[in-house]
Amino acid sequence: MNRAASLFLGIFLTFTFAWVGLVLVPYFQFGRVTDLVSEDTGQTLPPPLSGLAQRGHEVYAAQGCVYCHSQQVRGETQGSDLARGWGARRTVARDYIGERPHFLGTMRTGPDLSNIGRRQSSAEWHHKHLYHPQTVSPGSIMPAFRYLYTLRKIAGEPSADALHLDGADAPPPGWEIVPTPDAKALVAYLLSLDRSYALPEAPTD
Amino acid sequence: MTSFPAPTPSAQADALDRAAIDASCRVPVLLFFASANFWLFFGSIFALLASIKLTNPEFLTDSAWLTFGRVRPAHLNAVAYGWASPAAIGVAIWLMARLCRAPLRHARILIAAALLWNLGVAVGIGAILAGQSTSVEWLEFPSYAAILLFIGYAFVTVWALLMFRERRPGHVYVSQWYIFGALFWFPWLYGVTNLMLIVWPVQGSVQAIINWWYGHNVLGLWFTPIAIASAYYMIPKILGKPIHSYYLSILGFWALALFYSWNGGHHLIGGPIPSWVQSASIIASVMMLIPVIATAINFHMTMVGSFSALRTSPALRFTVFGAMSYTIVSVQGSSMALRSLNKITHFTHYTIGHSHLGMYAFFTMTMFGAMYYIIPRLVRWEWPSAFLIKAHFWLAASGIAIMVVSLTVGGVLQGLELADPKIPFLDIVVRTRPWLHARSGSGAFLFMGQLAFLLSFILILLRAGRRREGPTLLGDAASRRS
Amino acid sequence: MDVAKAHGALLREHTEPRDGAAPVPLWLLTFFLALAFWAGGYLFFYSGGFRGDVFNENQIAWGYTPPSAGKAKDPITLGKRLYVANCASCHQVTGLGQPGVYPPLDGSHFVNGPSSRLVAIVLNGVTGPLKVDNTVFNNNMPAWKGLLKDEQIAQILTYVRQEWSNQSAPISSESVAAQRAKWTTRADPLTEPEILAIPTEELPGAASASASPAAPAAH
Repeated sequence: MNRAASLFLGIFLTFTFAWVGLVLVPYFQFGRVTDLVSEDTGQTLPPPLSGLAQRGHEVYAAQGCVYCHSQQVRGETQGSDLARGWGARRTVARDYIGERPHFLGTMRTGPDLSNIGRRQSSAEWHHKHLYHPQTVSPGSIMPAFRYLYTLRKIAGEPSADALHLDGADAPPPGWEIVPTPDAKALVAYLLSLDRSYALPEAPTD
Repeated sequence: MTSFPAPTPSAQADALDRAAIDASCRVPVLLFFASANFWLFFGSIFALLASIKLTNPEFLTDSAWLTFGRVRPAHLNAVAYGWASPAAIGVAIWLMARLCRAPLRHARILIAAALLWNLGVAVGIGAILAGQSTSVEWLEFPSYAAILLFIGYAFVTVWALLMFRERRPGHVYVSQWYIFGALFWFPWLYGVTNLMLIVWPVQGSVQAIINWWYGHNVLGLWFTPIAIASAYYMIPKILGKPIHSYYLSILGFWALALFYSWNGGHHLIGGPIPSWVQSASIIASVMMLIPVIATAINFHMTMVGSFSALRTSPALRFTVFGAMSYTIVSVQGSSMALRSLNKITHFTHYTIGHSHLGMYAFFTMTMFGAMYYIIPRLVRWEWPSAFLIKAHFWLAASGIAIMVVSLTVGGVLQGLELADPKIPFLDIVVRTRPWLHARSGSGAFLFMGQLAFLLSFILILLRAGRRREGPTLLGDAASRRS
Repeated sequence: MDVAKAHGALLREHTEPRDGAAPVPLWLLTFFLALAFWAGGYLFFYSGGFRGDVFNENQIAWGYTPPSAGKAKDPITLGKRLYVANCASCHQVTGLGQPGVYPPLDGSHFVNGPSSRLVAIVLNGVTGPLKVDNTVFNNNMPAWKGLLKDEQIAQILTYVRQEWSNQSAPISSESVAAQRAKWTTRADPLTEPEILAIPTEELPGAASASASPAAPAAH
């Protein structure tokens, strides 16, 4: 192979073939699907994120949650995701149209979070879990996110969103532990994760 | 063995040519190698921190900068862009100059490239630790760091084209095909994926496809071709034999170009992307058996009859270790893409074992081999200590073996338990921990091996020790060639 | 430059690599052709007709049109599906909960006891210590009244009351609706004293539950 021109042409064409087939075709085929309105409930599907949850999406990215938690539910033929209760149905392309960046993930060091807002719908639980995961999930290897919380002196009335912590985590008397805006946003995002609505291409029953 | 007729220039004139080429490569190549070793050191520190954190979640947990979700991408980016890419660029520059049979010119382009590239890596890793990661795996650098890498890399590609134009006419050797492929594919891949994911992100699940198309092809179309190019050069060069078959070389190269580029969708099997994208990538992954087997036969048949050289030559020993790992990791990769196996191994530590088998046992070991060959020629000094090289090899080989075995076995057990919905998730977490401890231990082996290499590297740059007449060999020299 | 001054490694080096001309073995070409054949078959069967809305790999979708969704009717099947999706992350698929953290449902006197309490717990959630089968659990259960419809709660509870070793009567969606009406103004989760204060009334559709173990009067 001594002809540089044919070498360069081949290198160019093989790559172009893959780029068109694996990137451009998907982009035009299903990269522009839209949300839709449910006939039953009049709800927009997937429901758009609130401003606070959108901010929480950024916090999720900054802490690198995606390295241990996936957000995709596989169908019945691929693993036990449905049987484990990680979703009512497999997730499909339309579920992610608002996600920038996507958090599909490739590891399940921790459980899948596609529907965590439905499985654990209490903000209190999420705050306790983020502050000290092992108190609510014994044996967990998730790191604590104490840096998302502030210890501060109670001035006047105790804060309404102070954490109710027991044992060694409890703040000294006269002090309280409150979530930072980042922690509140993150929990709002986690609570918004509920992909249990039915879609035409992914019915729930 | 039949072979094409060899040119027979006078040995002396030939040696003088090579001396001039090596002298011209000294500054840019050593600059890339030195920065690669710098980042390998820090990337490995991040790796150890992340590995310990997976078994001891309270370890350094109060610092936002050192939370697991930042240290882990810092590790990946430090080794992928700080270590592996500069090492690959350095090897590619030297191979290009040697195979074009012309001294390197325009060294300033390469020096500027090295500075821009390393600045980009430093800025990018700082951004990840500060919480500004894009959270797109393999592309965590924010756009202001990525653009520095892109410009730096474009300089290298431009340099390679200039170099090729100034080559001495003659046969274009197989290593050059791979280097040209890599130097052309990587900037396209890196530029396009950054544009479609970071600058103007497309919709959710298409992002995921592009993300894993990049994640797989940064290995397949950048690191892999450079490492194969290096092995295609080192093995016949050190043995003084022709490579077994030109036709297998051609088959291997074009099959890799055609099939590797379609990989990616198989990282999302069962996920929210249409069935056909998954199937196309599964097929491409299985079809990778063609280039892998062709290349493996080519290397093996060249080695046949000369395996004893592995006892003496450091460069050959590392390179052949890498080449054998390439075969293993590729066959493993093809099998993992099959839906029936993927449903067990997906989302588990098995995948982490696979990626370390590829990036360390194959790519990194091949780069070490190339550096053991190239650096003495650039600094005109032999490696100061055979002991350090032996320590490096055995620590690296045993460390990566322990890591891959523990993550593979642990990952399969984890996957089988995840497949059984009756086993609570937290029980699986607890039962996986011993395997993660083993991984931390194996990481310490790798780290110590790299320290031995770092020490050798510093000593040879300082021209430490007495001047040796012959090469630094590992055992009793059956052949006095390195 | 003088050769003697050149580095010694250069003089002992072999010439630059050359190519051998061995042919590609026939068996290898045969194997590669077989692979290509397999690839064609795989693409035919598992490509979902190259459609952008077919995600199930087993769906051979050449000329496919999406079906109008049919519904499964069996309440136990529907209840199990809902249980797995909503309840199993704490109470587990086995119904045994997690020792010391989440209480079991299998054999629990709350599950098999008076249905008024059971429905109230699911609607409102629970907070603080709760003694279940002689073990005290201290955790939070979320309220489900905002997330699940009456029909869905009835299906889940019917499933839970008849799964594992439980053998209690089904719960109808009408009785869930009636309970929901009583609790509409309640915002906070229930505490143990409040739960035990609920009259041990059997809801309609749960008449035969008297055979199941009764809740202890006090703890």
